[in-house]
Amino acid sequence: MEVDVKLTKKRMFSEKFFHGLFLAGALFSVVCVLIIIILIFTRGSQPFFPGNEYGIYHFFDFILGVAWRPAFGEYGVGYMIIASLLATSGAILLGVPIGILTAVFIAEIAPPWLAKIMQPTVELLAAIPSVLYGVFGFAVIVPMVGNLSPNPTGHSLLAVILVLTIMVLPSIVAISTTSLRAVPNHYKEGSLALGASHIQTIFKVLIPSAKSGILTAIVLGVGRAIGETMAVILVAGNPESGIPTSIFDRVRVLTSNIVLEQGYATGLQAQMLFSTVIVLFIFILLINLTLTKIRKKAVDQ
Amino acid sequence: MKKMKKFGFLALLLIMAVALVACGADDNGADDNGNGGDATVEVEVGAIAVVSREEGSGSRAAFEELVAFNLEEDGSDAMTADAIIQTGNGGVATAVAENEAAIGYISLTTLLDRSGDLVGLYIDGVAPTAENMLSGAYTLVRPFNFVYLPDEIGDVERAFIEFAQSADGLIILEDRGVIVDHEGAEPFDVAAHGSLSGSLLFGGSTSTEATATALAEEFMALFPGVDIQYSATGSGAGISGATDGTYALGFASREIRDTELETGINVVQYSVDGIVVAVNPASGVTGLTVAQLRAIYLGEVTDWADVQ
Repeated sequence: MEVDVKLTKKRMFSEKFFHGLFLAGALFSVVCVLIIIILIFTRGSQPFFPGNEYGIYHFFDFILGVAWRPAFGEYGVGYMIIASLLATSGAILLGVPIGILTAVFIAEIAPPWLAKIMQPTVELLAAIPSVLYGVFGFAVIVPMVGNLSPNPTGHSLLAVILVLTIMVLPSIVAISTTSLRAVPNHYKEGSLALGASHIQTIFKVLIPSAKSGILTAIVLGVGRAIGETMAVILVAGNPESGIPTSIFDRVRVLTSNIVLEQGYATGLQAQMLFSTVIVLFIFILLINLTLTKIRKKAVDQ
Repeated sequence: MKKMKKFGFLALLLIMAVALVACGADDNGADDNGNGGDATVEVEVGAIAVVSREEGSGSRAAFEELVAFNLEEDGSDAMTADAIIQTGNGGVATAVAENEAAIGYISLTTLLDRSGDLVGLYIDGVAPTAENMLSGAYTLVRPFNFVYLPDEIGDVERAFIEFAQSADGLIILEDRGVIVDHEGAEPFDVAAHGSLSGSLLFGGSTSTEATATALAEEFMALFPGVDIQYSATGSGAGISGATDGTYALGFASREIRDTELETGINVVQYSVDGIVVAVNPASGVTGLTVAQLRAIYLGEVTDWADVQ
């Protein structure tokens, strides 16, 4: 009997210990998120409230401004918001069809040996550090765009879109392939048995059934595109003002703006960089909310 | 009806994908043409691609001051909005090396490191060499200064000031790529200072950080009892820090203003940093005047044909 009691005690202890360990792990991430949110919102919101030690800046001048010239006290991120949105939607418009077609090919059409080669190749794209995409863009895409462009260099919205398109592909392909493969086999069998062709089955049965997975892939792609920094900084040209009016125009996106000036910034300029982070953070928040909603919908179905 | 719509959407996506592939093919075609004929190259060199550093960079501030643009509060002499912004000397150098139509400004050291890829322009007919920068014939230079209050410094500071201007100190500075005048410099006599100890805080420009810390490291090796830290805050902060006693020495990568001299500080110009205007060798451009340079950075002149 004595032995049994000891064992139970030991077990109780290890149970409690591991509960504590898991709790600590979970708390760590939550605390990190909280600290980040508190830091950027307290620092970044200061310029918009009276009593700021470096002077007040009007919120609307910030959010709608088309010039970022700290030397003249101009801190407008409006043109960067537009650039970020254009670059992201461009990359999604190009990347999603390519990604879905690739996924369909890998999951349905390719012979197994080819699919086995293609899938890891595409997944390898995801593992490449983003600065390498930037260098590739700088050395290959920028001169290529420069040859087409009426402007003296290929640093442009188009170059950004092309680099981001390559970067969003892996997540779109990987998740779409998985969700296409997860479609129950009898859906396909049923469709084929009713006389539909393979292509009809793919477009009318498989893709609609894998819809929620594909949508998740798209939202993740949006997240990657809007948050990308190092690759974009090398190909965008990062001008100090101006809303892009053509795909050959130079653009400065929100993330690049922060990296470009964080090293030197002091006073109001440093605070305004934190304000830029808030704008970015709100975008990411919206993307994540959309993602949660899509997943919830998928579960409900 | 709903299904038809969905199919239509997918078809649209497909068309866009095909369009992209076609686009890619076009790009390649244009690329081949661009590299093939000389005529195309000349047309490309036509429009000037202006490259600048990021806001807050010391080199940029010095360049703007020397060429006289981007200085007015009302933005009447603002830099052209078409300028490409690159980070660091290396970023500008790469952008210029990759683009035949580009113009940018970099430190003299960067030019020497990459002399094959870039051409340093003659400014007002003067070549961008260390000798011309030292003699003052080449005007795009900025001094690296440190300042101190003569009544406030002790033996350690005095030894450091002597060391920075000695032949040994100048070699260290030269290694960091700045221009120094060796004339009259004598070797540093360690024994004459005995054993020094103490801890000093230097501070100031981010541009002078590399040279100041290189000197400090060597100095600390000579006097193991001495500890020197450098706080990179900016030229203005360096000078005010020296006057209010925050820093033992305050470093500035620009001229000291008259109002700052009135506080009674001593100024030592310990080296000179040269700013070189660089272009791509393929452009064929060899020199510009300061006035032309200003017009280019203001966006008033946008074509190489207008400056040759």
